[in-house]
Amino acid sequence: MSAGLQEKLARLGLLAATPSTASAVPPSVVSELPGRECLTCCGPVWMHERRFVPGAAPLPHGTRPLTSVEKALLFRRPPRHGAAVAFDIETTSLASGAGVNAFLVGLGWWHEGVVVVQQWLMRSPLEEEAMLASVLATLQRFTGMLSFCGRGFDIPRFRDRLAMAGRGEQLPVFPHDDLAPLARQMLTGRMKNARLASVEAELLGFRRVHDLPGSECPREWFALQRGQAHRMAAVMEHNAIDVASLFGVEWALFEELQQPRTPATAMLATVAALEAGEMMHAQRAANVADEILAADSAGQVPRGLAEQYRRARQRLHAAC
Amino acid sequence: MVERFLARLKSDPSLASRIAHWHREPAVAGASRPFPASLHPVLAESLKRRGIEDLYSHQAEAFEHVLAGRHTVVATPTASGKSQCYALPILSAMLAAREGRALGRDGSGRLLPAATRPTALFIFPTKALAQDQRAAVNETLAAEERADGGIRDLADAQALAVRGLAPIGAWTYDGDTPPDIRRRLRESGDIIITNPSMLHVAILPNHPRWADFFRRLRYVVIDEVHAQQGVAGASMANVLRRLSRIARHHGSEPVFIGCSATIANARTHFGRLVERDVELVDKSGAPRGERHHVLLNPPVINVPLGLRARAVDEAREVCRHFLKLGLPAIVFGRSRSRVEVLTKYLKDAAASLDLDPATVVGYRGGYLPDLRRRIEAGLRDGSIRMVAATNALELGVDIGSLDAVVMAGYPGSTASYMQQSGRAGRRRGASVTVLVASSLPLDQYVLQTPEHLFGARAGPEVIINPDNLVVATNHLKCAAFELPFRMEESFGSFPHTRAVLHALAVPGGPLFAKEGRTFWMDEAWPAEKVSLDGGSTDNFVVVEMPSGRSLGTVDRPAVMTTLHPQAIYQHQGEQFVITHLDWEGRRAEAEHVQVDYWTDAESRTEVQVLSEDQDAPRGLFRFGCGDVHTTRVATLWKRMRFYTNENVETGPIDLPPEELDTTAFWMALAPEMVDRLRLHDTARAGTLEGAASLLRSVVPALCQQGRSEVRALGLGSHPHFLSPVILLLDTVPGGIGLAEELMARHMALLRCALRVVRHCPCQVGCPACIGTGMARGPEAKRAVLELVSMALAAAEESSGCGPAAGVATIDSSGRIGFAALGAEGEH
Ligand SMILES: [Zn+2]
Repeated sequence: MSAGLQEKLARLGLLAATPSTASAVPPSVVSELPGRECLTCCGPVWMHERRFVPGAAPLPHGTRPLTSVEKALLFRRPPRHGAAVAFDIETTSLASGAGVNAFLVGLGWWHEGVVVVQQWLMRSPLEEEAMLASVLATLQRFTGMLSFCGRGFDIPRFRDRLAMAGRGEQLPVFPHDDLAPLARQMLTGRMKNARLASVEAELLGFRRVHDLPGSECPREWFALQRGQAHRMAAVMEHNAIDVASLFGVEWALFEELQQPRTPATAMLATVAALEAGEMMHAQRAANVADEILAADSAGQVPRGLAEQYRRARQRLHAAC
Repeated sequence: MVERFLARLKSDPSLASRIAHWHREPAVAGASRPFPASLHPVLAESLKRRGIEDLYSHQAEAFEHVLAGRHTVVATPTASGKSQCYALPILSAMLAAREGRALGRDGSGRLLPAATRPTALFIFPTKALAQDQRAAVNETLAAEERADGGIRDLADAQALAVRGLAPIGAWTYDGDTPPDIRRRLRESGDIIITNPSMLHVAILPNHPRWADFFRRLRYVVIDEVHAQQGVAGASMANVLRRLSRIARHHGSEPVFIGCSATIANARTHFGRLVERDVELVDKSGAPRGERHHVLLNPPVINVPLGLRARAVDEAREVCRHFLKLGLPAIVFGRSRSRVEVLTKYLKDAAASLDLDPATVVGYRGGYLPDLRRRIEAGLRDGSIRMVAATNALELGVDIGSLDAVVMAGYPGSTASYMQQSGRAGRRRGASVTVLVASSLPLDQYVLQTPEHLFGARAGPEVIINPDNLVVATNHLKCAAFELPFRMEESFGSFPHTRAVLHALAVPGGPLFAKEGRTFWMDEAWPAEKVSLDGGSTDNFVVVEMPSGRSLGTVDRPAVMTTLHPQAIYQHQGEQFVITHLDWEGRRAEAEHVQVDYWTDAESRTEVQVLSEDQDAPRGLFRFGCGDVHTTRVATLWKRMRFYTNENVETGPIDLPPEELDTTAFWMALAPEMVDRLRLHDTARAGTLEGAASLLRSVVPALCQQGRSEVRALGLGSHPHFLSPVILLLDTVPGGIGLAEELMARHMALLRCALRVVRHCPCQVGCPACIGTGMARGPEAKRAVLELVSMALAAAEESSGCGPAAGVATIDSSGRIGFAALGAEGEH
């Protein structure tokens, strides 16, 4: 380009920053990414697979897949069959829009007592098509989805990417269990915020060490574009733990519901069991709730829950 | 009612003596055509039920163009049924698709499969206009509106229901649309009615969610096309470049349809805006009531100085007649401050006539929205009898019909004149527009050449520069966010697409290039930071103390001359003195005061020439244009007494300078011109400043570049030119095309200027010609006349386009004469 135009752009304040003189990191750094290149029908993409064993962070001892009835009790819906896939993406911005990339997609599932996490990373925007195709192919194996805030964040953004690629229709329409609203309700007053890391700390007693904050992930991917991959591994680690810990949180929330310790959880257990159609569970939970309420009437109960509980008691009474 | 006013106009000697021109547009019968064969029967039935048996000729013409897939601009007068020009063909195509018939071609001439239900995007400049438009579409369909914004069915005949077809949904999409409705209208809306800003910041950046809508997008309607000029026009053109890219990505080539007020270059303007070949429909077949245009020239009250009575005072007197006769009227003032002065005068006038001053209100931009809504409602229900307004009311906001429009000063362009005048007489029957000319050269030019307003090809050209580097670059970023750029992909006709993408795709820049494609690579959301009217995101808020009430906002460049401490800020005819200016906080504090003066400010501008893009030596003159860097600093404030205009006090202003990179047109004089024109000492400054002021003031007769002003400098010497020079500066960062336009038409500019200064009755220079600076006087006026005529002669001779224009003469008694002039003006 002409130096004149470049100068004019700079003078008019149109160039965001002065061009950096940082030398590019040698291409060999890219090979330090964990995983391997995977060839798909739409070209290459980077893939990494990890396994998480119960008893090692982020999965507490005794973590196991919930049965369909247990899931129904936790998520307050009728039981259904089939396996759920945990879903979590990393994006280049917290906003949404055509220019926000989902550069890393992590999927996780139970396999023979361990949690398998597979991650697809597009090392450049040119690999998006291959990444989307691989993720879609893997999703076909499942019948449900598990996420933390996925309904409002991950899925709409992922669907935007598919729509951009003309694959808008290909996302399977899954029943989707989102842990975030559940955790927010059950852990009211016990966490300083409703982020996944806080939930993990409260429920799993697990604190992430050297975790890269999610807000720093976009920057690392931008750096990767310029050949600087040194912290991309940390981004992948962050995402893998996000995915695996969904199963830990799911299990712990269920345990919490089974052994309510606060008035709120006891009330929730009653309401949830009733909505799942499990009358026996509901009656048992109601009894526990009565005991706890008798001992601790001052515990925090989210607004609306007390009323839901009152109506659940009436229905139980009528059923007996 | 109007007749009583017209009779008074003729009989009252003081009014009659002021009439410079009276133009009567007789009632027009109109021309009609039978319903076109492809007009859908449902629409034909609906029209017949309302007593409409045929179409106006221009509606029929537009109908054929639109269905043939030809991009079309309709430029016919206010109230000629413009919206039917696009509503009828578009609805016909939609209804046909409902029945499984393919009707109408897309913008590339393809006949699309009948299975595709076409969609349409209507872009209206404001939210209020969009709301009005939805009502209009529904009226065309004779449809009931549902509470949620959709349309339930078509009329009492329930024609569609009988045919078993789904209804057509016309929805407004703006900042007030609730999220759940947004989702539904994205998925099922047939017609989305929105404004440029929503398109820019909400729809285009989120196009994946609109994929289905864009895939079927067949029609894009743009209203008030003439108002898309200057920065707003350049921005709109770039938003349309983005829209075209996105539509193409989703596989559609829409037909673009524009509606415009009467402007000289509607076809080329719309063609430039949408960057396509367009058809022009400008012969109205609509009948019109009789219309009177009365141009009043205030009397000269000081003959040597050529000073005329002030337009604001004269307009007030005209308005008194309307108040007395009980005729509802709008009086338009040219600036916010003038409207404030008018409001105060008219409230006083109402009180002196024993009328309630509350029936007179002011209306301008910068008022907060709820106050504006209340005024609009008052006009509709009749509780407000007279409004003093800026051109904020000029656009088609629905205020019902009025009999009379008064303009205190020429509004600056033919299109604005016609729009403002169109506020009267929307219904049939006589109406009147009274233009009270001010002493400004442009006003006087219009009075001398009424064909400028009422001629066959009237008015100035609307100019836009979609390739303004600032505007185009900002939108190029937005476009890259919306869709990566492919190798060799263009961005409309922006010539620097590759170069700018390349410049932004550097480490630290927001873009990233790989294998020929360019991607957005940043956390930021570019559309958020790009304002469509340029600069208005940097506003200062004016807060009344101690109440903390917000009075309004002021754009940053205007702050140094309007919000400096001691400045009088006017709001609803009341005065507030600025007590504190917080530059960093973008906030000014004001206290309510009762004073008999307002304030004006002076500023000084320095210009550094960065590049000469064009250079045309013409005899002893050099015309040129190029990039400049300007530094402007406010120097003095002046207190001016109401009614007398007397300068009662001055003081210094101490605020940071405004730096601006822009473009300029210049006319440099060979050093020997100083002797030729006898430009020595003070005469030099007076002449050069006078000529600069004269040239600047006639720019709007040639071209319209929106709200931005033109700044003029006449310098005795300049380090770049090493000679005296006159500069006309664009005030938009990067330049909005003004400099190139003036360079291309500098002869026309000089002809207009010459006409004004030659006809001005003053002897010493006056606001109507060369202005009234310190160094003006008979010498300056003589020299400006000579200077302009010599410059014109030089330009015409070198271009070989005609004889020398003529020579100014000045006799021993100081009277100015003029000999032999060639053709003047371009219109
Ligand atoms: Zn004069």
